[in-house]
This record gives sequence, structure tokens and C-alpha cells, in this order.
Amino acid sequence: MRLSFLLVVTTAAALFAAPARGDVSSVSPPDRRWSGSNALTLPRGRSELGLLGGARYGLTDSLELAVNPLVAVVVPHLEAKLMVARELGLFALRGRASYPTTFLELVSKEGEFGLLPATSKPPIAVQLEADIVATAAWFERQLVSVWFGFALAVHPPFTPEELPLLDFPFLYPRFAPLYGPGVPRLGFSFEGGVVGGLHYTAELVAFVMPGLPDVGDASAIEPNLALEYRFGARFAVSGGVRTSHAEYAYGRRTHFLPYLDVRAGF
Amino acid sequence: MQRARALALVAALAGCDPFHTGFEDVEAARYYEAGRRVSVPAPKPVLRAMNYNVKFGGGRIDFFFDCFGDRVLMSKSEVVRHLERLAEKIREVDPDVLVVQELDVNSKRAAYVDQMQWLLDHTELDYGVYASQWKADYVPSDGIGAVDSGNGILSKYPITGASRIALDLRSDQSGLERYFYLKRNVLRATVNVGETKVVVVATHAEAYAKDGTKKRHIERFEAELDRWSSAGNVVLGAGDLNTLPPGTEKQHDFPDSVCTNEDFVADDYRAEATWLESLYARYESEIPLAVYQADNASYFSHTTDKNGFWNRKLDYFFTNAAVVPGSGLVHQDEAHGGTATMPLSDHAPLSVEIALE
Repeated sequence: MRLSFLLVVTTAAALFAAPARGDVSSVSPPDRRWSGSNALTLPRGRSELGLLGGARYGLTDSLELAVNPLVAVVVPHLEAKLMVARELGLFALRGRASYPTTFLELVSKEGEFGLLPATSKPPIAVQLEADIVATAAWFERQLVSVWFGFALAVHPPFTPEELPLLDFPFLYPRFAPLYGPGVPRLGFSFEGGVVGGLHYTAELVAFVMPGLPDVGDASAIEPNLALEYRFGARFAVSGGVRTSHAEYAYGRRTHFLPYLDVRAGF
Repeated sequence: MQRARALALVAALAGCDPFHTGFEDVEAARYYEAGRRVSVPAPKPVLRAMNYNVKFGGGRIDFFFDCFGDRVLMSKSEVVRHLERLAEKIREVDPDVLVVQELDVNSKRAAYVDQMQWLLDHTELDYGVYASQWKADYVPSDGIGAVDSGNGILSKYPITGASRIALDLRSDQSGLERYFYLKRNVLRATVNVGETKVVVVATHAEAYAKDGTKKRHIERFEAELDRWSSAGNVVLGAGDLNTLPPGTEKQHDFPDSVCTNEDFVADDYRAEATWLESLYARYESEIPLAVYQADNASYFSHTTDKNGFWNRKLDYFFTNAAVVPGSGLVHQDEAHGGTATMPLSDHAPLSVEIALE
């Protein structure tokens, strides 16, 4: 599985080293003001703050930084997306580094919200994730994106007694890199305007989780459907349902996560 | 019908039962068979039955809920080691019908070992039915995670007509607690001993509620016995009723009750002294009430303290058939049953023989 990670990195390096066709703005779809599951970054100087989506900032016209303040309290992290236009189309390299140990320690407790036994001893760990994203505008105001990525965790060895598998729905594939050699993932999305300020997102991400304790090799698929109304460039409200079809030690299960979000742009 | 389906779809999409903890009022039990079945034995005039709360194959590990320790999860090797000892005891008793409580079939705490299937594959019992009393994709408390634990009936004879009958839920919990808490049941099935049909009624009544739920569970268990008895069937009720027989001398302040968390305290049975009177009056028990009242200690079947000894009777058989005199036994130790059962579970098994002719 480490080979998959190397593949992501080398492919990214090749793409980014290839001759540029021109500046990014020449190939940008009409609306870069709001972030999405695509290769576009926020324009330079543009900021975005979302309740669930977190904070994003266009550091340059092709580099976006992101952090979710709410999540960062329990899982310190930093994300970056580097966009580049090349002969083949619009690409981005998306990376994320996080420190999951704090969260694992918080949920190793007695009583409610004890997702892991109080006796668990989570290791010091750093989780690294990278995706190559390719995006094309297949119709006016309509984007299609596909990405391939890999997540791995660096940590000292631990036993299942020290850290039982965290298989809480939705957290499961995101913490799976801790327990195995790494988690390759493949996703695609459709995003675009419907009418006026109404936009949609239809997304699907597939995770492969090899070598998990209790389970062995497992997989998860997460479709996400959302509608968002954008009040110009400053404010947007959205609602959707994220679904998880995942393979657990006790069988394959489906879980739904309805959500509402608001975000503001500056 | 279409409207009901649409409502069910909307409910599912809205996440009304997001962790799949719910049950219907009455639903079919889950059927099992041994991996390698032997031929069904010839009908016998006397049926030997065994009742055992097996504590999900936890042996005498000190779990957090007993307040003697902090363990939550077991390894597969621990579970299998405990099951091997339970199976050895079951083979020693050699029952025709075994009723079990706290059997895990797909739980993180028991390393996802299907204990119904395991016991069928390692005893002379070939047929089984199971009804979950605690099921959730994830219990987000104490690190419990996924759980599927319940009552089972295992038999040498084929089983038909098995139903899971839902019992009342506790009313003294918040909605969130109740959603993830145990949902107890009566498991009813017909064991076909040749032409004779024995209706087995199994339950595990509430242990900790302070709102009368336990009493309603016992009444529902008795009503199920009455229903099938009055229809002319041989009935055999068995279970962990979590209360004491009438006339028990010690009814509170048990030395193994060390929990300070009120949620896990079951230490005072004084208000329950009459709850089993009707069952004892109308059915035969494995130990006649007068025999028990003359010597409580010989029939105790439970303690949470692995270093102590059985100090209360919570487990029972009730039947409308004739109990073979002297056949009832609480397998407390080597002198009473041939094996030291204290290390196997926090309950001692019971056995009894009933006449079918």
C-alpha cells in the first residue's frame, strides 16, 4: 500500500512539473468564490468560514490553506490545496496532516461518548493524506471532478488491547490508517448551479481499508448529496445527507448523517 | 402499504434508528443449526433441561459494570477459552434443551464470536433459536461499540415457531439512554420431541430499573406460559428473572454489591418478595419452594464476586409438566454438579428433568 502513496506523489510531481498551458484564471469556471470538492482553489485573498466546512484562505491564486477550528480542537490539522492548469486540464494536489492522538484520548473514557474503553492507550501518531484531483467543466457552471488519494499514519506499534479499532460510523475510514498499512481512496463529484443561487453537490468516495484488526480487509463507500443556496459572494446555507456503506467486523451497515451548514465568504 | 413503506423510508433517511437498535413488538427469532448435525434422537419420556446465564463468555473477568474491574473488551482467545469451559459443563449435564441468557452473537466485547453457533458446534445440541436483547451498531459509551447479545434456546430436537416478543422498555431513563439500552424479550419456541411439542419460554428480566419494569417483565413471562399452557401444551419456562424466591432470608445488602453508580446497583429485593408467588403457585419449579425456603444457600445461583460464592437465587425453571422428584439441581460446585462453576460465569447453571408422558 505504500506503493499507492508513492504513486500519488510521483504522479503529482509529474503533473506539476509538466509545462503550463497558461494562468489559472484562463481555465477557471465562472465561480471560484466558494470552495468545493474540486481542483479549484479560492482566489488569492479570499477567505471562507463554515460551521462544518471550516476556515479556508486563498494564500495565492493557486494555493489554498484550510483548517476547521472546531475539529482542530480535538484533531489538530492543516490542509493545503495546490492548483495548477496543465495541458491535460485542471489539477490539484490536496494534502492534509493531522494529529489524531488527542481525539483518541478524549474518546477513551467511561460513560457517554466513550467510543473506546477508558483503558485504551492511544499512541502518538501523525496522519498524512494526499489526493490528486482532476476537474473539468463539462457544461456551463457544471464541474466534474475525480480524485485518487492515500492516507497513512506514522506511529509506534501498538496492540489491539492498547487501541481497539475505532469503528464508529463515518469516523471509521478516517481513522483506519492508524490500524493498517494505509487507506487508498477514490472519489468523484458533480457540482454546479441549478438555478439562481441554488447549487448542488453529488459526491461519492470509496475507501479501501486493508489489514484492520477484527475485520481484515474492509471497504467503505460514502455518497453525499447536498443543496446549497448562495446569497451572492458573502453567505451560503446548505443541507444534505452523507451516507456511509461500510464493512464492519459485524457485517456491512448503512448509516445516514443529515446535516446543515452555513458558510460566509470575505 | 405504499404509505407505510414511504414512511419507513423517510424515517430511515431521517436517521430515526441510525444505529439499528430497535425491534418489532413480535418478530421471528433467528434460527441456527450445528455445522455438523447428528440424527435427531428418539423421543424420550423424560426431558432434561438446563438453564444458564453465560455472561457472554466473559468467565470471571472483572468487567467495568460489575465495579470489580475496568475491562470492557475481550480477545478472541479469551472468549474461546471461556466457551470451551462452558461447553465442557454443558456436555457434562448433557441436556436435551438448553436455555441461555447473555449470549453474544456479534459483539465487539466478545471479539465478534457467534456464541450460539459456537456452542451448537461444540455440544450435542444441534438446533437453536436466538432473540437479541441488546443490539446496536455502536454503543457510544464505555467503549462498548457494536453489540448483539440475547437469549437462546438450544436443543437436540428440531425447533419450530420461534418468536421474539418484546418486553416493556424502562421509563426511568432519558430517551438517549433508552435508545442504546437493553431491549429485553421473551423468546418462545416449540421443541419437537417426537410427537410431543414442548413450548419453551425463555427470558432475562430487567435487573436495574426502579420503575416497575422488572415486575412487568415477569408478569409477561408468566402470561406467555399461561397462554400456551391453557392451550394444552407442555410448557417449560426458564430464565434469569433477576429477583428472589418468596421467603428468601437475605434480601438486601449483598457483600458483592460494590458499585456506587446507582445505574448498576441491584442490591435490594425487599419490595419484590411476592413477585414470584403466582409462578410458584401455578407451576412446578426445579427446586420446590418449600425445599428452597428450608435451605436457601444450596440453591443460590449468582454472585458478581469471583472471590466469593453464590449468594442469591435469580435463575429458574417453571413448568406445567411433572418435575422428576429430586432432579432439580443448581450446579454450584464439584459437590453439586461435578464441576466448579464459579470460574465459568457470574451465574451457576440449573438443570431439571420433566416427564413428558
